[in-house]
Amino acid sequence: MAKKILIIEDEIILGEMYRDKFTQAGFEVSWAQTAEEGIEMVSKIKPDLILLDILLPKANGIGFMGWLKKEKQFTSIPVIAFSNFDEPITKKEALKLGVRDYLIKTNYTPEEIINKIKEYLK
Amino acid sequence: MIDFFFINNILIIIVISLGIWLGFFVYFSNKKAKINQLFLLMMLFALLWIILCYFSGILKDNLNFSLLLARLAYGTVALFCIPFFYFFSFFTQRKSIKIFNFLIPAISILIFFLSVFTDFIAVEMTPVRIMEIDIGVIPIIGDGKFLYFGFIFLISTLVIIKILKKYFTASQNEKLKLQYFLLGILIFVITNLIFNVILTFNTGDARYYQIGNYSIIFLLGFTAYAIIKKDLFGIKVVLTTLLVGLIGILLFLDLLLFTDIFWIKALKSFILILFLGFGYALVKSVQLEIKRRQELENLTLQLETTNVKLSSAYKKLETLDKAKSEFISIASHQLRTPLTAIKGYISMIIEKAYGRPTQKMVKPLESIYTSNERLIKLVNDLLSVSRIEAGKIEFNFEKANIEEIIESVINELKNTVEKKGIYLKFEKEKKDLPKVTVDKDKIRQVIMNIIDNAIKYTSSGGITVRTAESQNSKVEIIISDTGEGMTQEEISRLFQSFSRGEAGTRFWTAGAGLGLYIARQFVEMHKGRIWAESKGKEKGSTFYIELPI
Repeated sequence: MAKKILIIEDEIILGEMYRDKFTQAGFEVSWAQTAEEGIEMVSKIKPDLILLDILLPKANGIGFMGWLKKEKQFTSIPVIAFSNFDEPITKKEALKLGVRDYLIKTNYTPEEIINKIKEYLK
Repeated sequence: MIDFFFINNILIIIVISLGIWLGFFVYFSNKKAKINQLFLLMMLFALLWIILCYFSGILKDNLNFSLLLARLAYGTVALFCIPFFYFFSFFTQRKSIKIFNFLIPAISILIFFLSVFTDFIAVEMTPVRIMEIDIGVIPIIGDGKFLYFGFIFLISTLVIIKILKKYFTASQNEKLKLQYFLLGILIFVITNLIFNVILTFNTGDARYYQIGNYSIIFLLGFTAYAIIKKDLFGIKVVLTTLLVGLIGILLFLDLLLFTDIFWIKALKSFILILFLGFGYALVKSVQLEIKRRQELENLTLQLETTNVKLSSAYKKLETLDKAKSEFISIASHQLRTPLTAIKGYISMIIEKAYGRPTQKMVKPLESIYTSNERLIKLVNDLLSVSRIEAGKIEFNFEKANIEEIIESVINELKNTVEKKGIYLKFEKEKKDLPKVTVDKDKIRQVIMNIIDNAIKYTSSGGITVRTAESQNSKVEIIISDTGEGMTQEEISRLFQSFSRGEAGTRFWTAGAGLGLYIARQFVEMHKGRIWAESKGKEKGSTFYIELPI
């Protein structure tokens, strides 16, 4: 059965790109454009992995992690933060809240991100 | 010998003139201030009292008129109590019990009328003779003395309580003013006790009792000084001056009144002059000491103010610095978003995600990809430099295998060197290197920057990476290339911010000279060393990175 990936990404151009690539790679992809939408989708689809952007409109990725940490039934879902916002304090905070990795999007091709995802899904 | 009455006449003229001048000087210095108006009123009552006492005392031939003047004098003291009480209430800003505000003027006026029109305080005048000499007349005190002096005692006590209560919450300058008031009151009370009470009523020697009256000039003088002068002398200076002045006056009076023999007069004059000289020096030295202390206090205050200003400036700088860092982070984020899209889509096209690109398309696509990579690196470098310069770099130290880091860099750059037609090899030591405590990402960036730089300046041959453990517990990474080579001058400018070797300007270049600068900063932050060597032009270059184990 295809693994379910939830992408939380507000940049449409990037969201579309990752959705296409991950779908081609055989994943079942859901895409939320806000943290609030992401929260709804987590409960609905119960993804195997979440790719979380950090700078989002309204609630940000840190806020999303804060919510996820409180929801016991979802805490085991691996979350990879992927953002172009490279700020040490935010990075530290995200890692503290349980993200498995904090990737700078621009340093990875979609293919390389898939490799990372596969590692975390093992 | 000069007569005491002559001195008394001189004294009263001095006291009255000084009093009038002080009263009006204070009043005109700020006519609208209530405190200054009350002071003038106090002064006028006090002077009236002194004048009435004086004339009452000398009118020994008209006892009825003398009695009237004496009664008026006692009445004036009762009236004096009104501005006296309000002055200190006002100055200390301590509200009185409401009933006092009505009672004090009412009782004062009542006592005034009782004193003037009845034998409440002065019954009749009686001549005073000392050593067969008529020295004047003094009143015989009436039955109202307990009420009369009790009232004055009550007012004085209230005023002193107000001053003392205020003293503990007062500022430094206010404290000094209150010290002046207290000193004035103290001198007045003591002098009155000596001359008016002890000497006049206990020993019957009423010759000097007016001296007590005159001492009110000390009370009012200190008060005036405290109101007018902004920078008050310390109370120590005042006390020293007073003591010196008092001894000086006593010596002078002794010389004037009790010395007849010429040579003793000359000797006493000499002693007086000597005393005045030393006294002056003493007052000056106390003044100097106080001034020094004041200067020190001012300096401390200035230092404290500067500290406050500095801390506020520092806070502003911190805010600005934070804003700058946030701006750079956000700007980098904004720049990176389109770069990510370009990188992602181009890589997917090259990876045939959208079908096989034509042969002609592959090279331009790869060029776009490479150019985009350079832009990404530039943004990353700019972000790193801004953090280095702001001292905001954070490290995540852990034990790491340097060889693994080198291998991962070589792996990433494999395609780039292959396309350029040069080699990139890692000649591993047979013996395993010990693990090194480093921030893996930072050291990876250092090695990446050096190798990337070597690739840029090598058009044939290639790059060799070697490692070695030096004897002084350090690990060495050596990156040699067969490229352009450098002059000594170029080497000296190599690791500076925004500078590049000359070869860089002649050949195709990609970086803005930031890569090597960042490498040096990161290595030094690991307490390591980085340097380059070259035998000259066309002879290649070797970069050395040395890290402590």
